[in-house]
Amino acid sequence: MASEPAPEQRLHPSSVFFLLFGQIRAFLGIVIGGAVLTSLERVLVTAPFVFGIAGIVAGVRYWTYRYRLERDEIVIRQGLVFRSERHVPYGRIQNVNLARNPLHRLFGVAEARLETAGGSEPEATMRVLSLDAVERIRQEIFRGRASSGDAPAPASSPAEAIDAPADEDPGETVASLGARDIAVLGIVSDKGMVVIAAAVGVLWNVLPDRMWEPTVQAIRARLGAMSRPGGLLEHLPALPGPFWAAIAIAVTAVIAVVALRVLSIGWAWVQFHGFRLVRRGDDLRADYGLFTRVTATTPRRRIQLLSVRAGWLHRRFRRVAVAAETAGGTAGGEEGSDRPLWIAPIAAVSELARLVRGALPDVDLDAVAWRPLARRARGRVFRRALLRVVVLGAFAAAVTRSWWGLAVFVPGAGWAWLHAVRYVRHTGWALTPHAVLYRSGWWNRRTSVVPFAKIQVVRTSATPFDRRARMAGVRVDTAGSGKVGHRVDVRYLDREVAAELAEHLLAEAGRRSFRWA
Amino acid sequence: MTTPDGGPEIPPRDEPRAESGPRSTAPLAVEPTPIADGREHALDPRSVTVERLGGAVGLAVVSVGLAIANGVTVFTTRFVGAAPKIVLAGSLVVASIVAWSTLVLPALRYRKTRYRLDGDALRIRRGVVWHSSAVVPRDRVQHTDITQGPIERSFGIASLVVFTAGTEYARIVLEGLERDRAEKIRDWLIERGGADGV
Repeated sequence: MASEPAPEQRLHPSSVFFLLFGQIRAFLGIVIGGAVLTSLERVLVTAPFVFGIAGIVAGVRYWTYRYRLERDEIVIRQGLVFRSERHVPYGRIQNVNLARNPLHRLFGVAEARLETAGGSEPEATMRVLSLDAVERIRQEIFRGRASSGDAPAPASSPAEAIDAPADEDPGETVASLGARDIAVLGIVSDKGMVVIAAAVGVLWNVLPDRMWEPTVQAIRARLGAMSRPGGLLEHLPALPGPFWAAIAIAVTAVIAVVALRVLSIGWAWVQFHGFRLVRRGDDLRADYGLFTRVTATTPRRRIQLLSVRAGWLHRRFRRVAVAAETAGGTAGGEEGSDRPLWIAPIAAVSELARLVRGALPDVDLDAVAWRPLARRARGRVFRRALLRVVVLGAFAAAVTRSWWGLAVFVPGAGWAWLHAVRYVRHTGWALTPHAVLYRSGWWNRRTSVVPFAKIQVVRTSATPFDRRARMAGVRVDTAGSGKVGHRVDVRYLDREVAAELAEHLLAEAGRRSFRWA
Repeated sequence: MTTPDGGPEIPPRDEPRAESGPRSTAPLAVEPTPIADGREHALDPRSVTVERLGGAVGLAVVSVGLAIANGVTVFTTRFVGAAPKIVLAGSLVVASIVAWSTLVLPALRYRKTRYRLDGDALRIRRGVVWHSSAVVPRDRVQHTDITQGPIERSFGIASLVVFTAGTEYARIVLEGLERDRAEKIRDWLIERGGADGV
């Protein structure tokens, strides 16, 4: 930094007004609330005082906000008491977007947002600048660039080279759902199951027996008719009352579940009717929906994380769900960044490797060698689960005020052991030449795949318990909204293995540049 | 070429001078960056004082609040009954917790926080009870902030905030650095070898 810095510039003077306006808007709610709660005259007396302070704050903010355009970056300084200096390299700015309301237009100014292509927070928001100043900033930032638009990035390293498609077919269908698939999707989707279980539990305790009487009588009459001599259930012994209530509840629950499944199928039909995922070059285009037809196109290079999910019901039907998290839409804020990119809402397990390859061509799921957790992980998982059982038992004993609550401990311990065994068996990590994989969960099985080029930050951590067991965890942070609900967060690794894995991920991430687009 | 007044010949600037050491053979474009020495560094020791002073303000506010609460309870109940005793005990507990986190914790944190710049990444290791270490590759740094509160400014300390494209670690803060050093780290993080395209 031997050359002298560029001259510092201020925001447009009308910024004071706009900043003040913003604060007035914020305070307006308080003022009105105060007027309602106390009295109008008290508010009118204090209001100028409050606005005076707001005005001073706005003035100070305007006065202390300075920016300068250096050779490779823009430097923004602000603050009086708490000062900050922000450096934003031009290479990170994809767009300079303007927001202008009528007031801005009146003054000939605009609120400028320096945005990345990522659709996340803008790198800097400058309120307000004259249009000339904005133009000068734009010229400085985009000097030397071919266009200020969203130019697709050429592959910069062999690791990022896109696999040449084996067939030059302009459109390769990666996945498509027929009516039967959608029906299975509806059945398998476990929306509402928890609600049903909870509702059943609540009903059992809360509703008086009176309410069940008619149902119970009806069922008893039905079954009674069937158990009369010559009927189907002739030899059914007489059963006590509560038993009938239980049957009544069970029947209601079954009916509810079936009804819910039917609704679920309907929902799946509305949302995913006609699902098709087509690949053209590097672009993945998904079409689906019955009433609202969604067409989402995303280049594969924007996939930050690929997620595979298989719940218990999925496994019964030998299906999986595959989705991807993306980042790097246009700076206008496409809805693509909020919605996960569906690769296949439901698909056969046998198709999984092909689907993964369709989204991340460098990853071959069939050739992945899963590595296990540390040897002593099972013991630790067991102890943690046992602790939860103990707490639950104590809670049950306290609630029921009897020692029988502790009886939950015996099956609980058995479940804890089962949980530990299955946890360790189904949790693992793996490395391919271009990505890191992590799978976890034995009831709901999930797998996440993160290409090395999309790794942002690698974090290693160890709780005091980890340290005692000589273990550590490795976590990988990626861009994207985090809505997929699973990430590469490997716990219970041997300390040395964790360190090696972290180093390997960093080396691989460092070798590959990260490109938004 | 000679100067206009006939003085001694001045060699052109980019000719290596014979009497210079190995330094002169270094290419002009790349300065040696001693900041990225691959060694682990602690924060600036003055950061402990800075944190303590900042925390002292909070402690003062909390103490005043507790004193008022105690005063009110004692005044209304004349120290009869369980209520004032509970309030007093609670206040002592809260006050000692706040005092500990204000006076003792900064020193612990200072001892346990380390950072390292090597190869192409910034590594930060921290943790008193729960150890963790975060590593940010240089290429993943989006932009940086250097912030200073009034107390920090009077000591010449600053905080470096590194922004990444991540979600959980979108902001990584390294506080308690000497201002000059923070700027050097920032320069090293943002500088890129050559063209930075998108």
